[in-house]
Amino acid sequence: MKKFLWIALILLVAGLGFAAYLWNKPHRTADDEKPVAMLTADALFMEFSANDAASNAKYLDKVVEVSGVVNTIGKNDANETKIALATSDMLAEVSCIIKEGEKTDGIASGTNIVIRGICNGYNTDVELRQAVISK
Amino acid sequence: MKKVIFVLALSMGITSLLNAQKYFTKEGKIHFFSATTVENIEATSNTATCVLDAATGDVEWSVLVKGFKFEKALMEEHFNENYMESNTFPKATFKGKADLSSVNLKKDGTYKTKVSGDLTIHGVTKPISTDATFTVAGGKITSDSKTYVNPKDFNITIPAAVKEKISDKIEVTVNATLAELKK
Repeated sequence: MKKFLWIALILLVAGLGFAAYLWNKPHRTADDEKPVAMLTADALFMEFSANDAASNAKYLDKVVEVSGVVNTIGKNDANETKIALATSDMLAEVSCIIKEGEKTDGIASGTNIVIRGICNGYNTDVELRQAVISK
Repeated sequence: MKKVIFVLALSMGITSLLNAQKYFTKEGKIHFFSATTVENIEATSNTATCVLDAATGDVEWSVLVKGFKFEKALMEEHFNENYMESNTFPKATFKGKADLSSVNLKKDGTYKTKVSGDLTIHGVTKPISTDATFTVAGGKITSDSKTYVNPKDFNITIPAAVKEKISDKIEVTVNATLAELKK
C-alpha cells in the first residue's frame, strides 16, 4: 500500500511539473529551426502578391530567411522591435517583428540585412514573427 | 470642341480630388479580451490594415490571425491550431461603411457614429454594427471602436473541458491612426 502511495505521489509531482512546463514554455522562434527557403524580401513579396494561396501553402507558419534593405527600424506599441524591409512596391514591405532579447544595434535605414522569421502570411505586408538577425 | 475639353478636364480634376480621400494604416491595433471567473485571456495585433474612404465612409479592416500575440505560448498555440485554425483561415476581415450623415471627416473634430458591415472570422461572415469614434486632427483620422464577438457565431468550437475559461462575449477593441494614402 505504501509503495502505491509513493508511486502515486511521484506521478502527481511529475504531472504537475509537466503542466508547469507547458504553461511556461517559451514561444517558438525562428532561432530554433532551419529555414524552408532563403530569398530576397522582394522575391517573397512577389510570390505572395502573385498567388496568396500557393505562397501560404509554401510558407505559412514556417521559417523563412529573407535578405534585403532596411526601410525602417523601430518599436511598436507593444515595445517589440519591428524591422521593415523594402520591396519593389511603394506600399508593401516585409515586416519583421524581432524576437525578444535579440540584439539589433547598428541596424538602421539603408542597412543590408538577412533576417530569419516565422511567416504569418501576407496582408499589405508579408509579415514575419519571432525573427532573428542571421549571422 | 474647346468647351468639351474644358469640361472634361474639370470633371477629371474633381474626380482625382475625390480619389485623394483614402486614409490608411498597416499598424492598426486590435485587442481582444475574454473575461471569465476562471481566467482572463487576451491578445493584441499591431499589424492590422485599415482603409477608410473619407468621402463615402467605406471602411475595410484586415488582420493576420497569426499576428496576435499572447503572453503564454501555449495559449497562442491553442488559439491558432484549435480555435481559429489559422493555417486554413489566415485572415480576419471587416468590410463595411461608417455612417457619415452627421460626420465631416474633412474638418477637425471628434465624431461619434455607427459602423456596419460584414465581419469574417474563421471563414464565417456575420453582419455587425458598432459604435465608433472618429477624431480628425493634423491631417490624420483616428478611429476607435469596441465590439463584442461570440466565438460560436463563427463556428469556433470550444471543447467542453475549457468552456468555463472562454467567454461567449469577447470584447474586441479596435484602434487606428489613419494617414492620407498618396499613391
